[in-house]
Amino acid sequence: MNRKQIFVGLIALFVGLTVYLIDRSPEQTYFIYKIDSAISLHHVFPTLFGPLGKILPAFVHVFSFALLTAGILACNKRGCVVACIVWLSVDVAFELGQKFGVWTSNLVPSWFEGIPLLENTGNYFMSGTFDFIDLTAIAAGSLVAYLTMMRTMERRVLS
Amino acid sequence: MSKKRGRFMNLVRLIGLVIVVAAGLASIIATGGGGGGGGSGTVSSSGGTGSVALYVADGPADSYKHIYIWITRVELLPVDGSGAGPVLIYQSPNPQGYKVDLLSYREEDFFLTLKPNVPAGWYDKVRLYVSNIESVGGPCDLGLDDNIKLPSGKIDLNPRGPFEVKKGEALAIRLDIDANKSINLHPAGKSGKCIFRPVVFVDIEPVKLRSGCPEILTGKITRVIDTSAAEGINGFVLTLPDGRGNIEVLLSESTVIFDQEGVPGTSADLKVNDSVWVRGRIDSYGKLSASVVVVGEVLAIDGVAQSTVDTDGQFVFLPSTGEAFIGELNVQLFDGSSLVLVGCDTIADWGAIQPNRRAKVVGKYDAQGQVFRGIVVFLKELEIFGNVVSVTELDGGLNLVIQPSGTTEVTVYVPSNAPVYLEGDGEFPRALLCEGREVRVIIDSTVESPLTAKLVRVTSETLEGAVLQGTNPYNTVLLVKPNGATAAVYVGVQPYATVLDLRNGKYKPIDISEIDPGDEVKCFGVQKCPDDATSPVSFYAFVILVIN
Repeated sequence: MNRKQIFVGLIALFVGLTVYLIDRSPEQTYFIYKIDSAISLHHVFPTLFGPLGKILPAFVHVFSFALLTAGILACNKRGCVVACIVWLSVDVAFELGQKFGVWTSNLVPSWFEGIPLLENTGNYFMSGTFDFIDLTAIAAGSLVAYLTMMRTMERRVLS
Repeated sequence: MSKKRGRFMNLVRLIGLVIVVAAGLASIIATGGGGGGGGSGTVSSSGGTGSVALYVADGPADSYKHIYIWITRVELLPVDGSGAGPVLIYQSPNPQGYKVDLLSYREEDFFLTLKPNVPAGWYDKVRLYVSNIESVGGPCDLGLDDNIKLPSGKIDLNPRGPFEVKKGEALAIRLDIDANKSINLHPAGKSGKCIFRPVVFVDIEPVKLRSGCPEILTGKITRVIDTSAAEGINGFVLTLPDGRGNIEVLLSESTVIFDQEGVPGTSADLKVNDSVWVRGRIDSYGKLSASVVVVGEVLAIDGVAQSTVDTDGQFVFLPSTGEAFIGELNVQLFDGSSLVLVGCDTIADWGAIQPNRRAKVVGKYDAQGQVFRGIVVFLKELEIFGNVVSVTELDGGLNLVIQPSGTTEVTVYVPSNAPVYLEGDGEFPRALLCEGREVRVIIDSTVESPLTAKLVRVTSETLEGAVLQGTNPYNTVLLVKPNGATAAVYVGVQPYATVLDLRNGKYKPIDISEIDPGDEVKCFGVQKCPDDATSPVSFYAFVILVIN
């Protein structure tokens, strides 16, 4: 495992979490709304990230999960590229799903209904807004993740 | 040993990878919108029906006495591609429409109707048909019968995103018609009338999550529901007047019933064709769980308490000028039955009734005993209205010194969890709460000392002018030349600001990036704080209307 990469990934994840806890009102976020709106700090603190808060989650998601994946698997250079591309594809696919919300939500199985988290899948595609800026942030997130991986890669000492 | 360790590490990696992948996918879904609920399919594809409760509300419009709006029809439009047609939610039996005085519903929402059997599925627009608008008082009241021009009687309202009517559940749709922003003072051509360009905020949430005041309905009992062998009935069907539909009212052991005379009774007093006054909440199935039911007409009188409640349960009440009674009244309360509420829904004990406390009493007058039988007493929340003189940070909150007009300064503590709103709009950043702001502070009656705010509303200001320079994704600032001014100013657009394109009779939420140089905008927000010398922004906008 690459602890540095896991640590950086977790820190980034925490930053992403603060966007939802502080900058966004609780009803905009399923997990806060579902757990308890009282956990939201939106009324407690002023907005932390300003306009950046709109795109930060898209950037942070791909960045942190690519790093966590690479960190857990202790990937080599090629593995890092694969981790970045996989998470880039996942995030882009979900973003595109929002552009074609009606079509995508029809693919969501009806048994998701009533199951915590899964029940929000249709709503995610229908209510979410497709945004090219989010796509740019996702691409930037995967690129920065790759560069971070290269900086934090543990070199194996040849004996 | 090293092989075993290697296998163990591979297992750990595999488990870690599964967790990361699951968390990664889950976090995408979990951070999506919460309010609309989940599920799949378009209209009717998921089968079944739900119900829709429709509310009308208004923001403040201090210069008007009344703003009447005639609603003829309300429809829900399914999402594009569903192939389904509009679903009727309300149709007025009167071709002129159902007349609502918006300014009567500034403190609580008006419940228009509850429509059952709405096909479950996704919808993305609310279509509102309005036949007429009229104001009394204010700058548009020129003595004409139809003093406000309505460019289009059909208004397609776009909520923040598509919403779902779920099978078996009730959805609340609240149309907040902001009269202040909607009524445009520019004369409409040569007619000299004002123009109504509707600015309607649509709030949609499951009824079970609605946190506003309970519903107060009047109507006629058209059917009694008696499903158990026990004594008394379980509920009744209430038919609302003016074709506003029916709603099932449920009674429970905690429901307080008053008879025709205004004294505590039982459910045996409730008969078909009785007119009733009902207070209660709509549950997630679209039924009203009643807390109070009164047979017959009730009187609601605004005024001021003149005494505390004595040992016989009576207190002296002075009705306000213009009410149905002149001079002091003795109000009789009934132990275990009469409700005393602070605001609209906080139960208080009778000790909360104190001399000089403003209140509204609901009940019936006993002419023989010359006593007013009090069924519900709504104690008004203490409110301070004035200009902020100074703001200091204290214990994570703020200490506001407010100068109300005509009296001495008042210091109010605003705890960190007390919401601060821009009047008629959404949340207001505390950083912008500064000297000079006009505020309306609702005081928390549960805190004796210091004077503590429960809610702060900041008065909105307006800036109207032509855009000289639009925004970009990283700098949401518009350069606007205000009408009549010589110099342009920077307008900072707040995150999640509402931007509406009202040009050519349209009503369309747009992104701030779609505002171009040359567009005429009307911005609602606040001026920058006087001590903010560094920021180039002069005005912070929370709502922007593109009007030309």
